[in-house]
Amino acid sequence: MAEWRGRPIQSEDDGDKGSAAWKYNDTQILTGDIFGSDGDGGIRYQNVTVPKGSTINSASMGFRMNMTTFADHVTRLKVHGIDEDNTADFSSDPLGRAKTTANVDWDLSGPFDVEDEASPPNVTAIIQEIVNRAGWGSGNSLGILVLEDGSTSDTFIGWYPWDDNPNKAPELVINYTAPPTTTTSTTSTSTSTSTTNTSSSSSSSSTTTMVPDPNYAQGIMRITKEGKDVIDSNYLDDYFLDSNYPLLKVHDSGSFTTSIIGLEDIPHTLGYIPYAIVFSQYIEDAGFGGVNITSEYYQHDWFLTGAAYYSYGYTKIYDDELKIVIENINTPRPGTIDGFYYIFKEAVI
Amino acid sequence: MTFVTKVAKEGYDVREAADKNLSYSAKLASHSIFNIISASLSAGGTSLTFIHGLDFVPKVWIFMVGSDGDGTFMRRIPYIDDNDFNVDFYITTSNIVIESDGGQASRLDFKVIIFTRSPQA
Repeated sequence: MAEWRGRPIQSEDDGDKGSAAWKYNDTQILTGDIFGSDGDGGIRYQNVTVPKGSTINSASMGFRMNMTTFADHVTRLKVHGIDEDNTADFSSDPLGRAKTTANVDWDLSGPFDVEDEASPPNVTAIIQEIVNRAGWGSGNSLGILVLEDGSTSDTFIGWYPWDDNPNKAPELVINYTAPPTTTTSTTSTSTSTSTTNTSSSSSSSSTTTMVPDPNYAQGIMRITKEGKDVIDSNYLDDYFLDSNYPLLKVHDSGSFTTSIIGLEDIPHTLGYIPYAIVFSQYIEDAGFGGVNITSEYYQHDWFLTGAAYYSYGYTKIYDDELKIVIENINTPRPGTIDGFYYIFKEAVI
Repeated sequence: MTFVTKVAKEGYDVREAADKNLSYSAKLASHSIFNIISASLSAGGTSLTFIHGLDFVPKVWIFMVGSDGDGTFMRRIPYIDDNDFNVDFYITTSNIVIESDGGQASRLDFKVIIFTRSPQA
């Protein structure tokens, strides 16, 4: 069994909507009856590294109060999940997003004081429904909505959000068992002979189900640096490799040369905006001294200034190309831009 | 004898391949992605802080989202333009802070890529 736990990690990961419009940067998440208006809140968790199809053994949320109203009244709430594969941040109102079929009543009877921790709602079925989605993937973001559900009039509770105290914002704890890892390998061979005009081909595929060793965290492959214990090391930089964290893989690399007043397009076929990095140097034409002005390769996000000009180099990364841009304010002394680039397989968008 | 886990590129003998022909080696630090965060700085805003929780200074790339006639694109920061408007960032053992001089007329959207590696390690 493995555990994932996390809290909101940015302002746009939680918010509420009471009598006013949705706010993601407030200092409370207000839930309950706010003087006749429904107080509804939402919390989003990023990088939830629970594999698709895992069995959720338990999941609960820890909420800490930073505002309370009447001591002896009941705040009645209902907790839903957002029924999406990878829910977007809460900079816009998430309350209208599709909800999971699973939900749970969460009724809280006072008296309460600020800093009290509420009895945690059991969100096991909600999390199970989300990680069972066809499009769910380890590392996606999930959202939880906490909605008013018949509280005593004017009775509401304020919870710590990220904007007030990130370490007290609602914490989600998931205990899960990852599904068995399945590896599929396919091999094929083919031969052809032109003189006899014959060809043959064969292919085979096999599927191997690997059952994880129960002594290790299931579904995780980890290699640590020399001298670091692979089981006990909790310091992330001790790991050379951990399957929870995808490796950056090079899709394409190359070099280019263009004029100081030029523009270079490097196409790629990924269909999404990938990570990319470009380095370049600026060399003046021989007639102007042939000086290697930048002297060495810089990340292609530079700014040059001369007696009467400015020049900028930067890279715009699109879903089908890199545009290596040089912008000039007045004309600099002519020369060339000499550089190289790496395009990675991982997507930024 | 020292034992090292290695994976060679296609066509290379893992026992003899040079480091540049390895896909993976336990002796060479790999770049793994710890987290990707979407973030926004409102019009006129001057700073944005994330708590990364790693207890070391991680490597970080930050891209700013833009769009033009060719579509949506990403551009890395630091950023400076000819009006001296600039956006930059710094990293500590607990935080990543994006700073702007506040000159933006509309919201700036970012993608923050945090690696598991520390440049100090």
